[in-house]
Amino acid sequence: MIKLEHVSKTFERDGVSFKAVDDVSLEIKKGEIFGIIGFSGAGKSTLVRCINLLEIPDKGSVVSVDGLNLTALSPKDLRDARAGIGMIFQHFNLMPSRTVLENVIYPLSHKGIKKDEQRKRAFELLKRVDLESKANSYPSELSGGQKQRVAIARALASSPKVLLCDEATSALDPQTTHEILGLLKELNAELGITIVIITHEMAVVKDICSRVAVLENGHLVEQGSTFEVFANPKENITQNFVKAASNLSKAEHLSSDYPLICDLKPGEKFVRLSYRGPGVSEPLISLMTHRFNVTMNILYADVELVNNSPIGGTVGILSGRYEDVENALIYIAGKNVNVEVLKNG
Amino acid sequence: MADLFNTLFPHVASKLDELWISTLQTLYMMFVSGGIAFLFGIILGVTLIVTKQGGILENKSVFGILDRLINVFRSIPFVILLAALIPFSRFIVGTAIGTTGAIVPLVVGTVPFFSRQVESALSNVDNGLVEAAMSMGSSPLGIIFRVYLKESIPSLVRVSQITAISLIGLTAMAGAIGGGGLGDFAIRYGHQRGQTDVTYITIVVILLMVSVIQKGGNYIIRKTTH
Ligand SMILES: Nc1ncnc2c1ncn2[C@@H]1O[C@H](COP(=O)(O)OP(=O)(O)OP(=O)(O)O)[C@@H](O)[C@H]1O
Ligand SMILES: [Mg+2]
Repeated sequence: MIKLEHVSKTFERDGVSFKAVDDVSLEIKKGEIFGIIGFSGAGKSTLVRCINLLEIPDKGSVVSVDGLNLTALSPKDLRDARAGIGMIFQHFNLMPSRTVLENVIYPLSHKGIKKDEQRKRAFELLKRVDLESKANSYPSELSGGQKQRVAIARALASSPKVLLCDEATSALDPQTTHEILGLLKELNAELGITIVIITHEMAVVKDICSRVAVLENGHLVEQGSTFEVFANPKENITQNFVKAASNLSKAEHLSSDYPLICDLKPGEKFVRLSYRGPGVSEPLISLMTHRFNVTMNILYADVELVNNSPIGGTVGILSGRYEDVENALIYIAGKNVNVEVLKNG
Repeated sequence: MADLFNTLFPHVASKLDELWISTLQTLYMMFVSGGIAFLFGIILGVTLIVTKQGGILENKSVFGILDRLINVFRSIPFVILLAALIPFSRFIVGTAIGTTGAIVPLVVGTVPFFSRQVESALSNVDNGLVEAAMSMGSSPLGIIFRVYLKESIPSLVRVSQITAISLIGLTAMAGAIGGGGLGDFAIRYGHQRGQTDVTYITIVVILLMVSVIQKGGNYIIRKTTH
């Protein structure tokens, strides 16, 4: 378990001080994939750098997986502890003058390990990330996805218990992002390594994180299981993130971009229904339309996987007698369906 | 061939021995002062980089003092430095004249310039690499050698070329005052006795030196750039 307690970090620049991380307390469980999401400048990088103490917090304490209080260590012990926390970066940060193999060897050398042992281990790691054929290439000859896989191999070289990923997929296309996230998931399952993912993309969190914390202006504003946060975002900023990563938010655009589709007659309502679990929607909606003598013109329906659990949603126009429509919505809201009226006719 | 040489350089044939000795003297000054200046320049350049704001061993006072000292020495014209360093030179190498006496002013004249060049070469190392090395548990010394210096070999070679070429210029000047070297040779015969062909032959020799520095450096740069 990684435990951050009341961690704050202030930067001084030209006499102006700026609180990049403000009183953040956080617990990351052993073996989980934890996401930290926030907009640019929210303090995500600063926060994650506080976890391996690349940034020394001016207040608070950081306790790492093995119960070591990192904030209390001497510089030498801290360096040893850092070797137990791997890190990968948005721009990969591979050493351009070294081959792929030499890059992976970097954390192994000067540690009293025999040269051929270093090579052997580095080769194993490259094999694990499917890049042994590139061992003697230089980073400049690799694609972004390949570079990140080398960086992952390098980060794993010292057998860390934790892997910190600072925007590790932000420079990659969606397909490559998916591959890298897949690799991280596999490593998490195989090695039991705890992974902390920093990102500004909810899609990444949705794909891979079991829990998530939302960071805004250095404050932790919301945290919980990814599913809970997705199904029931409380803060404004969280709702925005969820919408950005959800197809169901397309409804908003439907009503503004194509006003004709959503041209409502008096009494009609443009609604979004969202619910947990698959297959719940259709029976409920048909039940509702029969029972209250209303019609639902479905414009869009989808089921999304959030950290492997489904969340469903339907967007459409509900019409009928005013009272019937009202009652239908009350009925369906009682069935644990989240009802949002996007527009009234 | 020999005839052509004699027509083009009528005064040189009788001074081939002296030309050879002057060349060796210049090379001696180049290698000794260049070698020492290289070492000091790297040390000071690295110190500037690691102690500056945000550096891995940030230290305001060390950086401030070094920064100002380098600026002061850089602004002293070399000819004045030659004169000013005579007592210091006597103290360090026991003499202020001749090729050996020129070593101290050459080093002092080169180090500030070269330190700045090293500083600028190292500052091109991506901060992300330093961050990655730190995250892997590298010590400050490890980062200096395995990241800063290792990653800037091509640019260090490039700035060494520039410095070596400007050092040739300084040895010519130092030679004229302390005696010895190609500069001295050219001034004594070419300038003072009006044997212009002697001046030209020294230019040829110096051009050769410059092109060796350039070719050799470029070769290393090519081999170390990936
Ligand atoms: N070394 C520093 N000195 C001064 N200010 C800094 C420093 N590092 C970060 N900051 C400031 O702290 C704030 C948070 O920076 P941080 O890099 O943690 O944000 P972020 O959430 O990672 O953003 P991004 O998504 O753009 O990477 C920013 O306003 C930044 O300007
Ligand atoms: Mg960042």
